[in-house]
Amino acid sequence: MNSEYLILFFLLGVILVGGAIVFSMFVAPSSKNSAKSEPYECGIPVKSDAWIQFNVGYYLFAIIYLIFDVETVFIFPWGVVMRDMGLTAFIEILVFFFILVLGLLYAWKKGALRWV
Amino acid sequence: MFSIITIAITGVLLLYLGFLKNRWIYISVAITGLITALALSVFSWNSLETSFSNMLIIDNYAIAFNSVMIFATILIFLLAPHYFKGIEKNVPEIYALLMFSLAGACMVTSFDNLTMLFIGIETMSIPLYILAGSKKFSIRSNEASFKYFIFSSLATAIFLLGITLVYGMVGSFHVGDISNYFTITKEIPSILKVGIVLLVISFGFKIAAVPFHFWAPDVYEGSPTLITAFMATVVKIAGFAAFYKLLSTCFILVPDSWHHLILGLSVLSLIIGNLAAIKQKDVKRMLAYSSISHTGFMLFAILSFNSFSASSLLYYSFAYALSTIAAFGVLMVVKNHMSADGSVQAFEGLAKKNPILAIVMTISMLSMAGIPITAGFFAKYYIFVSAIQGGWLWIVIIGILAALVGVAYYLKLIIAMFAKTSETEKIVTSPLYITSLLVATVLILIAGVLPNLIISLI
Repeated sequence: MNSEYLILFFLLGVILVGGAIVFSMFVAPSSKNSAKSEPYECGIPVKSDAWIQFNVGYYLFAIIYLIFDVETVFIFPWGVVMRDMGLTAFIEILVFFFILVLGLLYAWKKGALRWV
Repeated sequence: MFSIITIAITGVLLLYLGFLKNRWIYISVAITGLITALALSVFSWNSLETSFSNMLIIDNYAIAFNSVMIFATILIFLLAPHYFKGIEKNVPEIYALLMFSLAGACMVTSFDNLTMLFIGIETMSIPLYILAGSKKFSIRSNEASFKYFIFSSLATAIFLLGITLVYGMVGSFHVGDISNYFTITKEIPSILKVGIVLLVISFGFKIAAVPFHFWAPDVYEGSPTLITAFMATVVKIAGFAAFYKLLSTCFILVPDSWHHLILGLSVLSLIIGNLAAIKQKDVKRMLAYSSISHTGFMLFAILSFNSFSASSLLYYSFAYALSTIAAFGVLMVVKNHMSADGSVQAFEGLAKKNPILAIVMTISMLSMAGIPITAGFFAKYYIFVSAIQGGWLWIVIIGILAALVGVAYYLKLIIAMFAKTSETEKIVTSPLYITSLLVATVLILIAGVLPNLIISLI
């Protein structure tokens, strides 16, 4: 592939996408009303502004949940190959668990699991 | 390998020691861990070692750069107790994150697989996003953290795309396979060239070379000064070591696809970095721009691959790290002690208030400007020699002119310290703090008098 094609590819991309936007700007009829910004057919009806305050504790719980999430993601492939790899794989997954547990213990001790 | 593991374990240990609430325990554990890591790193000299199923290769090149970075971190940790005096919350976490970032930096220098390079860069950068914002209630610190996060993730995305394109053509992440590909293939597909360009761009972000430097002054200014010292030394050295290694091992046979880029980055960094530094009022911002201009000099080593350029890059990194840490160390005291702003005026009459600090700052500034008998002189000298050997005479001339411009703003600070006076009020520091600064200063002089100690290593 020559580099001319690549430049042509980029240019064509810009022209096609940009052209479509400009074209629709001129051609499409525009009318503004509040119903247009609402979600279509599915989704919760818009109630208020998106900038509201909520408990930062949700974030903490989500992050700690991530520890277990990652653990699950790695345990499945490990389970598939565990029989072939034998003792090495077993020790390695134990080391992995140990590191994750250290993280959880730290968060626990710091009081991240207490709901305030 | 064991030095990286030691650093990581020390980091985890520090997190748990934080519950003891004794600041002397965790600083001593941190420094012990770092010294152990440094010793393990130095003692594995000449023993070529590949580990983690060929993901890491720890050769003399990696050991040399790792040792410089670990040593720089030790100096930064010696400054830390004084810097965090009066701050009780989250100090062990900051130490631990510095450790994790250092572990990432050590991986970056010794990669043998592009995925490992990616993991190393991420391990190095993610703690830094938090550290840049560790002054939680300062809006500038928050801004720095956010800006660094946005720019760095953009660079990471570009980097990943670059790796993907290279993998798509070569079919392997392994450094050896990639360099073999270029010896076999005569016609290089253009998509691979795009991949190389993307890799160069992403490293341009990481080392703050000029068209990609916009984040650097704001982030350096906003972050806590101790973290800025870490970013300006360890992270930059790691970035350069990896950049040099990537281009010299993988893409050495296709210089056409990246030479012009490096040339442009280098010349622009020299010109814009130095010219912008002259106009700065704030010393921290000035040092940020001066670090950008140092990027321009260090890129000379990448421009001229020969047997000499790796060791000249190592020497430059060492000299640069020492002078930067000394400069930021003095800046920290002056800024904390005098007023909230770290402008040049704050340095007026420092020679009267605390002569030791003034001498340390003077030597560090002279070293950055490249005045003889400091390490900075030989750093520039060797990097110029390496560039001339590579046949880049005209760029060396630009470099020398840029260095002359640089002298102007470094001397501005020295004049402020010695010639001008203000109300005399002694500045006191802790002995540990002065030790770190004096070690850096003495090493600047020793390396300046006996450059062969380092230049003959690799």
